[in-house]
Amino acid sequence: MPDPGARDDRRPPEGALDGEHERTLAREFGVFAHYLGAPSDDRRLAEAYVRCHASLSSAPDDRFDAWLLALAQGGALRCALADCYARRTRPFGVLRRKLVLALAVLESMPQTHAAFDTAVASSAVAAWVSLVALGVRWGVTSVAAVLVILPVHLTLARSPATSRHG
Amino acid sequence: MASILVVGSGATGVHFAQSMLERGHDVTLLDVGFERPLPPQPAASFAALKEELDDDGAYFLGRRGEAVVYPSAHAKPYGFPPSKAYVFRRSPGEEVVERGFHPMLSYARGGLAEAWTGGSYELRDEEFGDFPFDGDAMRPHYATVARRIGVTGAPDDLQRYSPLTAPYLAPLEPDAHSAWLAERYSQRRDRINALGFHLGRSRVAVLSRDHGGRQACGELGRCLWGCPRGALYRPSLTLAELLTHPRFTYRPGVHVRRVLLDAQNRALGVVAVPVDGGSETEIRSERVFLAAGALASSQIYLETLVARGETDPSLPGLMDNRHVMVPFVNLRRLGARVETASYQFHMLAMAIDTGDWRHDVHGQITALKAAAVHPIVAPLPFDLATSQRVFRRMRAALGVANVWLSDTRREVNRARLEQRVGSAPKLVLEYGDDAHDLRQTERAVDTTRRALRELGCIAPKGMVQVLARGSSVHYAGTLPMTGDELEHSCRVDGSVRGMSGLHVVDGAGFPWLPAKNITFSLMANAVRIAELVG
Repeated sequence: MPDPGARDDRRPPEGALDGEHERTLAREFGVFAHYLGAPSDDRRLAEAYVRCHASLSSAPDDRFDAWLLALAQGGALRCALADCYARRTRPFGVLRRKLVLALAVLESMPQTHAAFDTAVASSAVAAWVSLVALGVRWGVTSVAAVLVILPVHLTLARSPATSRHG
Repeated sequence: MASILVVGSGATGVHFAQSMLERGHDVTLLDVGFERPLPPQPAASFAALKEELDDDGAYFLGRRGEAVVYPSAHAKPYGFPPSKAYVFRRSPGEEVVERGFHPMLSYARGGLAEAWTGGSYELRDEEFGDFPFDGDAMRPHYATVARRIGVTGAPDDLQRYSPLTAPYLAPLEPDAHSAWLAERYSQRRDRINALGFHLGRSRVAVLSRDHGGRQACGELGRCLWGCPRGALYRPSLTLAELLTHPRFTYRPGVHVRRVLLDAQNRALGVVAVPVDGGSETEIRSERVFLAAGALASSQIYLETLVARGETDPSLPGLMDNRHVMVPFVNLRRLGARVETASYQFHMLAMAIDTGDWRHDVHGQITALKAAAVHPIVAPLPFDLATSQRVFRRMRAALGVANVWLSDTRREVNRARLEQRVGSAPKLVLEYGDDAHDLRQTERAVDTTRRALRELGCIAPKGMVQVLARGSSVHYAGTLPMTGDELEHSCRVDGSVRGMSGLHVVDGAGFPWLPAKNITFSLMANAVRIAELVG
C-alpha cells in the first residue's frame, strides 16, 4: 500500500480549488463526506468531487430544491434531515445528485474506499441488531425531517415563482 | 485468390474470418475499430486497484465523472466504467432515431461482446424450428467455437434448455452465495421445479484453466472493468490472433456505408468513409460478408438499397430480448463476508418452463461481489448515509436475477432510414410491445420471485426493473435466413436474396430469438456459414 503521507507532494490534479465556486464545492464536499461517514479534509478528495461536477446537472429544479441543498450544506445533521426528506420528495433532485456524486468519489479513492466498498462481516444476530438500530435511527430522523422541512416546503409551494417551470 | 471482405470485428466477424482463413482464403476485415485501453496493473485485484491507482478515481469514475450513475427513474444498479467507453463510442456523425427501442451500438474492435458477461448457451433442437437448418447442422460449430474461446459448463438441470454437446471446461468454483443458492435448490428441487423453474450453472466463456495462450480466471473481481488476463473471452482476443496470420489484412478506421453493386446486383465491393474524415472510398471484392452486428449490417443493407434507387426501404422483424432485472435479498446471508476478489459475473443460470418452448424464459443469477456501490445504494428507500450502512451489512445477501424473454419477428418492429441532406442517413428503429409481451413478462417475473422465495430470498416487487427494449443487446431478425423466397431475406448460407456475392453472417440473419444469450450461437452460425461458402 502506498504511503498516504506521500500524496500531498504530488502534482495537483485538474480542478484544483483555486476559485470561489470550487472552494464552495470543496466545503460542500466536506459536509457531505462527514454526513456519509468519512470525515476528511483531504484536498484530493475534494478536488475529485469538484472535477466530477463536469458530469453533473447541478442546477436546482426549483426554489425548494435549492433550499434543500442550502440546508444540507449547513452541516452533517442538517444534511441528514435534508437527505431524509429529499429521498421521499426529491429523489432525483440536485441534493441527491450531489450526495451520490460524493459517495461515488468516496468509494473510489484510496483514502476512503474501504469504508464504503467492504461488507461489515458479523454474526447474523449482530447484523440484525445493527439493521434494526439503523432503521430506528432512520425513523426518528425521518420524523424530525418532516417536522422541520414540511412547513418550508408548503410555504415555498404556495409562494409564486416556486418552480422554474411554472 | 481474391481477398474476401468481412465488415466488422465483432463476435461473428472474427470467427467467420478465422474459419475462412483456415479454408485458405485471403481475408480483409474492415472495421471502425476503436481500441481497448490497456488495463492498469493487470495482477491487481479490484480492491488493490483502488488502493494503488494514483489517478484520483479517474479509472473508476472517469476524468470528468462520466461513469457516475446519478439517480433517475431509469438508472440501473450498475454503470459501464470508463474502461469500457471504447465499446460504446459512436462513429462520428452516426445517429439513431429511437422509437420504442433504445439500442447499444459498438464500433469497437471486438464489437458489443467486448462488454458481455460471457453467457454461452447452445440452442436446443426445437429452437431451430424457424431456421432453414436443424440443430445437427450447428452442433459441430458450437464445438469449434468452444474449442477456440473456452466455455465452462457442467451437466445439470438446465441441460434440457441449454444442451452441452460442445467440449466444455469445468466451471469455476462458485462464490459462497451462489453455492448456497445451488445447495438450497438441490434441497427443494421438487417444489421449485413444480413452478416450472430450473437452476444450474451458467455456461460462460471464461477460462477455468489456461487455454490457447490465455490465463485462467485469477479471481481479481475486475470483470466489469475489463478482465486484464484475457480469461473472460472477448472477440478482440481472436482479432489479435488473426493479425498474426499471413493472409489476413485488417483495415481499421473505415466505416462501411454500403455495398457497391453492378447493374445485375452483383457485389463489387463496399463504399466506406474514413473515420477521421475524408471522402468516400471504394474497396473492391466480389464477395462481401456483413458481420457488423444486426443493426449496423441492417443500415449498410438499407443504404445499399437507397443507392440502388429504392425509396424509403425498411426491414421488418427487428427483435430483442425483453430484459428484466429482479434484485433479491437472501436474509440467511446477512452479516456474511463478501470476497470481492472473485469472478464477478453470474455463476448460476435459470430457466422457466412455460409449456411452450417458444416462450420459455432464461436468466442468469449474479450474487453481488465486486461492484460500484453508489448505483446500488442510491435507489434504496432510506437517506443515503443510512442506505450505505444498510448496504454494507446486507451486501453478502444481495443478488440479481437477469431474466430474458424470447422474441419473434413482427411486421411493426422494423429498421429503416431517415434521409438527411448533406450527411449520412440516420438509422430509425421502431418497436412496439403488444399485450402478449406484457403478460409474458408479468408471468416470468412472478415465477422468478416465487422461486427465489423458495430459495429463501426476498425479491421486492418494487425493485423489479423491466428494462427498455434494446437493453438486452441481443438484436436480430432484420434479414432472416429462411427457405422461403421472401424479400429482404437470406438463404441458409447467409447469401442475400436479390443480390449476388453479398452475405450476412451476424444476428440480422436469425429468424427467431430465443430467450437466452445468442452470442455463442452467432459465432457458431458464422463458422457454419464459412463451411458452406468456403
